[in-house]
Amino acid sequence: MAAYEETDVLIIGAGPGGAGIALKLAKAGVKVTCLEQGPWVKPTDHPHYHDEWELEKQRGWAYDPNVRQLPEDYPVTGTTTPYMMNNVGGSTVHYAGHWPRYKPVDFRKGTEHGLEGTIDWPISYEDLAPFYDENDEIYGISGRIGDPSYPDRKQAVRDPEVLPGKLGLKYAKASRDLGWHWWPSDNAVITQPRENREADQAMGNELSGSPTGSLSTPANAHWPYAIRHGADLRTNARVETINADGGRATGATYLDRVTGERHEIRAKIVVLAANGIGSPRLLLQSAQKGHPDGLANSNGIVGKYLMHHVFAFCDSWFDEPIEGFKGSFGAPLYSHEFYHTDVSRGFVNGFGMQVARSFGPAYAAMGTHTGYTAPWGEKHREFFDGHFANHLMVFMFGEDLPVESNRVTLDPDVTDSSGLPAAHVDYALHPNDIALAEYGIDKIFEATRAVGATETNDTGVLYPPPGWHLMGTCRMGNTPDDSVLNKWCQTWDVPNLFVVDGSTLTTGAAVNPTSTIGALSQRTGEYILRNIDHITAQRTTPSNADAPTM
Amino acid sequence: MNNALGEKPAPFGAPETTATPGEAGGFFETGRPRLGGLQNPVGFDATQAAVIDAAADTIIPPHPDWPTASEQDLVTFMGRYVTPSGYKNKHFPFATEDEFKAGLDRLGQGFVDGSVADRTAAIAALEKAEDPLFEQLRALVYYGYYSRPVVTLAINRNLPAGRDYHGPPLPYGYLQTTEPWDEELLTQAQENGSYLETDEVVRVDLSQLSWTK
Repeated sequence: MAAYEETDVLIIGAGPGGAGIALKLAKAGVKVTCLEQGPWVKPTDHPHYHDEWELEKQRGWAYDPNVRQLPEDYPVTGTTTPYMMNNVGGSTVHYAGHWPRYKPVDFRKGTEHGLEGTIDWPISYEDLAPFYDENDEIYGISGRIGDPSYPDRKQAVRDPEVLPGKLGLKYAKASRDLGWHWWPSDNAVITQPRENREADQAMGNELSGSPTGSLSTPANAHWPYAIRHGADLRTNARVETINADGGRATGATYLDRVTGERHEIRAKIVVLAANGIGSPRLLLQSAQKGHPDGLANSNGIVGKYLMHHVFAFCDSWFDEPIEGFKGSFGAPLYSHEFYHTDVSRGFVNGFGMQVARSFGPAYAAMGTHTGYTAPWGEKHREFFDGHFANHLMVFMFGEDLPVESNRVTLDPDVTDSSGLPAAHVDYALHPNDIALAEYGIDKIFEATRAVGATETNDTGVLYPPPGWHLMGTCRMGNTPDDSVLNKWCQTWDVPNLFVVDGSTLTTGAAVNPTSTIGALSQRTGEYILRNIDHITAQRTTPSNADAPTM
Repeated sequence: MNNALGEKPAPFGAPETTATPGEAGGFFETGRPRLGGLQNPVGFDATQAAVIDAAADTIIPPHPDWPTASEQDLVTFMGRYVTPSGYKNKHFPFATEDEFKAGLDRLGQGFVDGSVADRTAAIAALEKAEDPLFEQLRALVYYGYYSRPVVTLAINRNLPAGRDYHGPPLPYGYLQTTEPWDEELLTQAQENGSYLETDEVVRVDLSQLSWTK
């Protein structure tokens, strides 16, 4: 009996990067196995039905695994607040579901300015556009077609947009009165029911997931169907090493976190999809014969050019009800008025203004998003009564430059519960990004004051930024000198090893990344499906020009 | 459950006992904290319970239109979220039973018997000294008080902005009480916004960047 198992395509990570590929390949009859170090998150794990739902956000539903510390989590040290989850569905299980796409210019930032490590993507918006549409239909996206700040996307399937509430209407009118762009957001929140999923009830709190399935994640949009088509999803399977031999990946060795047993699984093709911190961590900890500095890292780029987006939270209060506790936490609207580079502002790149919901009364008392904590004692009642649900939060997030020294490495001293090295993050804000963010804060308050905000408070430029978005650390590029991946997400060093997740993104744009990760997953899955025999026979990774096409 | 250190097993819902980093396999072998906190709350003696109630009324003073904090059983609430003695203190509000009780004991009966001014001064002293007990008490009072259904009813009654708030997000949601889009406003949204086509992207003038100067 063999000491290992065999599959056709081995996927590491059950989040958006891996799930899209798994579903596509499984439906086509390809033998797919996915290793996920976490479990399924059950509906009863969510706090939404509990009186203490707000406190639970700080505990088992804390965004940061270093705070949450669930058995499936691993430590991330350094200058970082990594907002990731490790379970079926990945970090989407606690995301807001904001679903904007990149714009065409976002694929050409090397041409536009080329600052720091900025390069052009090896593909264009037009290359990816059909896969955005395909991916959106799988997830279930609400929104409105017709945003003039994007190319036409009439092929995209949409549920009706989420309700704006007083909050959304307020900022929409502010933007309108200033002559700014605004548009109802696309959200990974369904407003029409789907199989085994309830439609959004305007409940809020998607940042602790959705027990009803209204939040579109791979846990409800992909995996039930991939499994139905034969995909083998193994939970609590923590990969120790991606194995290679003769210049090709042979599979992976993983630990069953429940039994402690070690297993080897071999595959024709390996897809790494463990997020922008987890994927470089796994490649670096897979150093082995022929790959002394980590797998796919002969040029030393794995882990470099980490991007998070530059963030600031901006709170405004009004002398009238705003009712931010109502409505899907996916943004009701966004403004891309300042999205494009205008060097007269003193910086390159731009930012989005995303109107967010609030939470409940404890959130108001504890300081909302900007640490504006209610006073205790005799002033408490007046403060609380004047601030709760009179509050509107807009977050400014801008494109951060890919900087070589912003990177993921292995921590030499700290391990996870399996004894594997923790990830370590070095991240510093770039002066361009700080200038951009400070400009953005002013613009947000210009809008809220114009419609009657009586009080404002902001975080300033957050450092470290909230690490919702983990990008760039195994980026796609144009040559083996500037990137880890070719334009089909193949590692330059190992032709049958693909990376598809936030780490794949060449630049970060000024939008949430998940829709783009999903589109890349669809595109890569299609490429593997059409070229599986060719890829299996490759001894070296082809250049972008020489690679077989779709 | 990991019991590598030979300590007693954690009660259901409590963080497991764990080794320090580098020992016995690292430091992430915890269990998921139970929703609602400990099934068997940490118990407080009569004086400690009175201190908690007095602190609650000092942090959120009684008001004729609002439920009184000390009548919301925040003693049990705090007991559910304090880390029991002997277990690793891993979850918010990061209050261990021994240190939390020691802090309550330091405040003691004198705090309970003191005037509002005395109790306010005592809490202010904790805040000024950056005593962890201050942040733990404030957080537990805020999270506890504002999670009580009777306080939710007071929010409905007293605050126009909170008229429809119903506590936990589910099962009800807010679909019936959230304003829809205004069609005229949506039509106006089409008037602003543009993008660059791929072949329109050109090099910008980098000499204007403020941060390079």
